[in-house]
Amino acid sequence: MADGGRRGATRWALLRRHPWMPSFVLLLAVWGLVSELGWVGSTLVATPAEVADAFVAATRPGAPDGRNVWLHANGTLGRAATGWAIALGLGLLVGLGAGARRLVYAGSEPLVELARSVPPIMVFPVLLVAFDYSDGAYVGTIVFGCVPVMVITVARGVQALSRPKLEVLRVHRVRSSVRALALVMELLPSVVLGARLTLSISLVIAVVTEMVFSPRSGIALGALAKEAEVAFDTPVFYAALVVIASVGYLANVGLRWIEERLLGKG
Amino acid sequence: MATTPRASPDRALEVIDLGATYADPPVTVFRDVSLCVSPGQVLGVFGPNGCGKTTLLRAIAGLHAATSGTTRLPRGPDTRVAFVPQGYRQSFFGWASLELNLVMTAPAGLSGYRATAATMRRICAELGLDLDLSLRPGQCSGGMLQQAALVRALGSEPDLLLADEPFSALDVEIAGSLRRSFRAHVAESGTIALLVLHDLASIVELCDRVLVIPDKPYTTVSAGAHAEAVLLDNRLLDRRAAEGAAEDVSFVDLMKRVLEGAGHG
Repeated sequence: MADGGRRGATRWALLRRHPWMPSFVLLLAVWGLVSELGWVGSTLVATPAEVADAFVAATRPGAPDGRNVWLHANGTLGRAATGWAIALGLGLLVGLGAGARRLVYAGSEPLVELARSVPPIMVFPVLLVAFDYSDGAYVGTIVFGCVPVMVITVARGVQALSRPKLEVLRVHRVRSSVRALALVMELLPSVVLGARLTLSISLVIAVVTEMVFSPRSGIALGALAKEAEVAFDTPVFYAALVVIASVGYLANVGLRWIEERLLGKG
Repeated sequence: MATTPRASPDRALEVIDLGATYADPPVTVFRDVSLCVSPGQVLGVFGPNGCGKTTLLRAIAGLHAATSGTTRLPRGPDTRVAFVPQGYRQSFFGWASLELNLVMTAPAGLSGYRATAATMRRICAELGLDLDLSLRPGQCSGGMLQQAALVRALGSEPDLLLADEPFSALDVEIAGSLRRSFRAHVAESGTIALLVLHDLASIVELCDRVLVIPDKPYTTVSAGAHAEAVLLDNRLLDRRAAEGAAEDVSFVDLMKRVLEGAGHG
């Protein structure tokens, strides 16, 4: 009885620490049931075992590069990370500049909102031609989609800095290096929020653009997913989907971890 | 521990015919305000809501552009000014401990950090405050933050302290003892203190003089030697009788004069 009670308490403690676990187990269970029992055709949904096989097959010696999910993921993540990093830097600079001066913000906000309203996929064909069908077009489209979000988030963060903080720093003549560090730390929540939002946007844009037009190298998760879809290779299609969802989720968890470590909960 | 006065007696704060306006919509907040405060003295600024007390403090601190008049700081551009804003809660950085917030004024280097941290702890002891400086602002009550804001200001060893209602969030017991230790610290260190105050108990206990700003804008007010009507010399009061002030004839008289001066009479 006592052992049973302890085991129950341990299970609850585990659930409290990892509240996401039941939803993942449920997702796998529903997916397994729907695909294994044949409720939905195998051309529409692959079973979890088939998807796992696709991952394993990709790493077997002599496996063709064309179906190597990991190799394709590398290409897509490289483009997404490059675009995201450029967008973070640009967005941070423009956001800080726009947020610091009310007049500059009022003048630039309509342009930023206008750019945000344009679906990035619409500028992709233009950038393809401009960048001569190179990876620059994919990276450029990601930058176009992410910069406005980053600018708005950072500029709002700057404007939300409370006046008493700035005034005390100024009147007490706090050294400029300390002042800059204090303000950067104060802005971190806005910067991390912008980073988290644009991270998922950059992954979505990377995959969508690759599905619209395969890069010259052909190494791209979007292109792989599209080819697998056309060839009714459902397990590979779902393997690509699982990779992109997992990368997005894990990167978000990582950024939240960094945010909590840097800013604490006090 | 007693501190020696840093400023010589001739190093007073002088404000001459100061005026300030708000731009949008254009409103004159006050004009022709003159005052003079010597080292070790406390000047209370009193008046009804919206009369411009906070703006006067901000104008002296250089945070609000004065439209007329002159402010002569006790040591010119080298004057060390400390500020306790009305929004003291928002003046702390939530990601840092109270100690880190307090030592941001430290000079460069580890020795500067250590010296400032030691000064802050000494000020805490002098004021009789038992603050846990390892806490983050989010873990503190409003009263604790207000005490920390006062320690931060005095710990920067200012020539001029500008404080906007620095005792408003404290309970009666702490406020009373803090006012007494604060008054002693200002006298010993030779700091010039300008305090916006709302309660008469603080005015009686703390201030050498009181500048009363009337309710009406465009009115000339002065804390100089020529405007006795609004300059209430608090030294007329016997501080030792402050506890029984409600029955004290001079206190009741002072209350009447202050309220009349503030347009409440």
